[in-house]
Amino acid sequence: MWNIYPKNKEMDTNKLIKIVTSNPILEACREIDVNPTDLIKFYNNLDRLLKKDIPYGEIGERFTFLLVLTKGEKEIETELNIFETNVFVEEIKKGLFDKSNVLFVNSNGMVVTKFGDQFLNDYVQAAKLSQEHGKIVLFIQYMELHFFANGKPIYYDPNILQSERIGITTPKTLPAREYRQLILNQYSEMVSKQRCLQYWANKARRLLKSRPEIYFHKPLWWYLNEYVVDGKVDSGASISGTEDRTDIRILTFESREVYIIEIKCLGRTESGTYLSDDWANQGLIQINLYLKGESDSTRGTLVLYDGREKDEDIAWCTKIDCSPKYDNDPMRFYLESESASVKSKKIYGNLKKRLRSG
Amino acid sequence: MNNSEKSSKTKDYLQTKRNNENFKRSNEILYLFYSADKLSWPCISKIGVQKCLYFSEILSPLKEIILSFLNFIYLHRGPYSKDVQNILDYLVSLNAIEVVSFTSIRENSYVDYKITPEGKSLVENLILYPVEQEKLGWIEIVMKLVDAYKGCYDLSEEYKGADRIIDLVYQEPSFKEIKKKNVKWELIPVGDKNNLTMKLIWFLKEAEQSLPPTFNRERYKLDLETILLSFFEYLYVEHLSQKQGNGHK
Repeated sequence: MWNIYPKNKEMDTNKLIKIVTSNPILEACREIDVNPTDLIKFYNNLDRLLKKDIPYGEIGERFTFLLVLTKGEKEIETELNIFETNVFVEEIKKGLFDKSNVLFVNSNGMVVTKFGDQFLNDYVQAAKLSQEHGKIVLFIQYMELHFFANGKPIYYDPNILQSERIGITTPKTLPAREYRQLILNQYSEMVSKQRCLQYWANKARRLLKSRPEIYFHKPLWWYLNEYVVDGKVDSGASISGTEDRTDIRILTFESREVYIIEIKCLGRTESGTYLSDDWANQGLIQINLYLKGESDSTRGTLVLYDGREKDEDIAWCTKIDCSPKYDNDPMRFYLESESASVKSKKIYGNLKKRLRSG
Repeated sequence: MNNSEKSSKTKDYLQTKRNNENFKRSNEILYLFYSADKLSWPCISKIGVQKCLYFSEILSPLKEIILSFLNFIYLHRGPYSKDVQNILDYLVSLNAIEVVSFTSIRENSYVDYKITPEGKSLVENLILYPVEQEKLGWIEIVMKLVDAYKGCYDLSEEYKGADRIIDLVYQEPSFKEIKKKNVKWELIPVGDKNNLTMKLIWFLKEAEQSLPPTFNRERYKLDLETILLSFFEYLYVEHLSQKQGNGHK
C-alpha cells in the first residue's frame, strides 16, 4: 500500500513533486555522474543567456552550437567564456564558429577546447556525441534546445523564448485530466500557427515530411510537460510487460491517474506514402491495445494531425474493439497550408457567390 | 559568597557567554566571506551577507549543524538581523574583512566587503577544529547554491551579484508566512525544526514516498545536495509564478 499523498495547505506539494520528477537537471543527474549544483549553475546561466542576452535578430541561424559539458578537472581554459555575452556574440559575428561549432565548456561557461573542425547541425549527432563521450551535451539551434545526458534525451525545448520553468503555475497550466483542453491549446498556439513546428516538406503541394509524427510528438510532449501541473509527462514510456512504447503518457501524482496519448499524421509525405483512413484506424487499434495492456491506465485518446487534401471525416472501422477507457472522440486537427491572404481571397469569393445567388 | 558577589559572577558568566556567542557568530560570517572568495565573487554587500546568512541558518536543521543563530526579523528588504552590522564592523576592525566600496544614498548606506589575506589565514586555522570545518562545509554548500541561482533570468535587475537572491528570499516559506501577517519587526523562527521551511525540506527528504507505485520511487530519492537544489528551484519557480500572478498563497 502506498503512502497517502500528504494534503498540505501550507505548501504546493504538486509543485514540489513536479520539480523532483521533471526538472531537467535532476533528471540528468540520475543518468550521469555530475555535480548537481555545478550543472544547475550552468543551466541557469545558459537560460539567462538564451532568453535575455542573445540578439537572435542579428545572428539568427548562425547561433547553432553543440555544447559538451566537461567536469572542470585539469583543464586548460581558453579565454572565451560563453556567458560573457558581448565577447561571445562578437566572436559569432566574426564567424569564429562558422566551421566548427562543437564547444567543450565547463560549468562556469569557460570554453576548454573546440572539438576538431566539425560543424554539427543535427540533434541526432549531438545525441551520438553525448553517448560516445558519456557527457552532457546541449544542442542549440537558433531558439531550439536539445539536452542529452549519456546519449539519453533529457529535455527538449522548441522555443527557448517561450518556455517556462518546470513547475511554474501560469494561467495556462491545467491538471492532467484536462489533457484534451491542453492538446487543443497546443494546436491553437503552435500547430495552427506553425510556430516552432516544421512539418511541411512542400506546403504548396501539401507534402508532409517523411515520418511526420516525430515533428508533432516532441512539441506536444514539451507543451504538456510545461503545462500539466499535477503529473509527470513521459515520452516513449513502455507498456508494462511489453516492448510497446506510448507516444505520450501522463502519470499524476496525487490521483494516481495514467493518461495515454497516441499521435498519428494523415496526408501525403515527401517519400510518397499516403496516410489516410487505414492509418487512422491502425492508430485507433494501437491506443486501445495500450489502454487494455496498461492496467493502471485511466483514459487515452488518439490525436490526428490531418494533412490530407480535403478536410474530411475519417471512415472509422466500426468493428474495432475499443476499451472502455478510450476517450471515444479522437481529436482531429486539419493542417492549414494556405496563407491568410489566399484564404481570405477564397472566403471573400464564396461570400460574393452567395450574395449573388441571393 | 554573598549575594552581591554571586550576582557579579553571574553577570560575568553571561557576558563571557555573550562574547563567546559573538565570537562564534563572527567566525560563521567569516566562513561566508571565505566561501564567497572561493567562488571568485569580488565582494559581498551588507544585503548579500544578510540573505546568505539567513539561508545558512534557516536550512541548518537539515544537516543538524548548530550555528550560533542570529535573530532575524521581518523588515522591508526581507529577513534582517541587526547584529550582522556589529559583527561586520568587528571583523573590519580585526582586519579579517575589508570595505571594498561605500556609497550613501539618503539614509541608507551600501557597503561591499571582501575577506583579507589575514581573514583567510584565520579561517584556515579555525577549521583545524572538526566542528568548525563542518560549519564551513555547510556554509559552502549553501553559498554554492546561492552562486548557482544568483544569475537566474527574471530575478530583479535592481540588484547585482548575490543581492539578486532577494527575490528567492521573499519566497522562503517561513519569511513569507510572517510577511503575510505584515507585522514588521516580527521574529522569524530560524533554527526551528518545525517551521514552514523545514516542513518543506522534510517533505523533499521523503518526496519519493509520496509517489504512486507507477513511479520507480528509488529513482526519485534525493540526497542532501539535491534536496537543497530542489528547495532553491521551488523558490525560483514560486517567484516566476508570482510574477505571472499565480504564486502559492
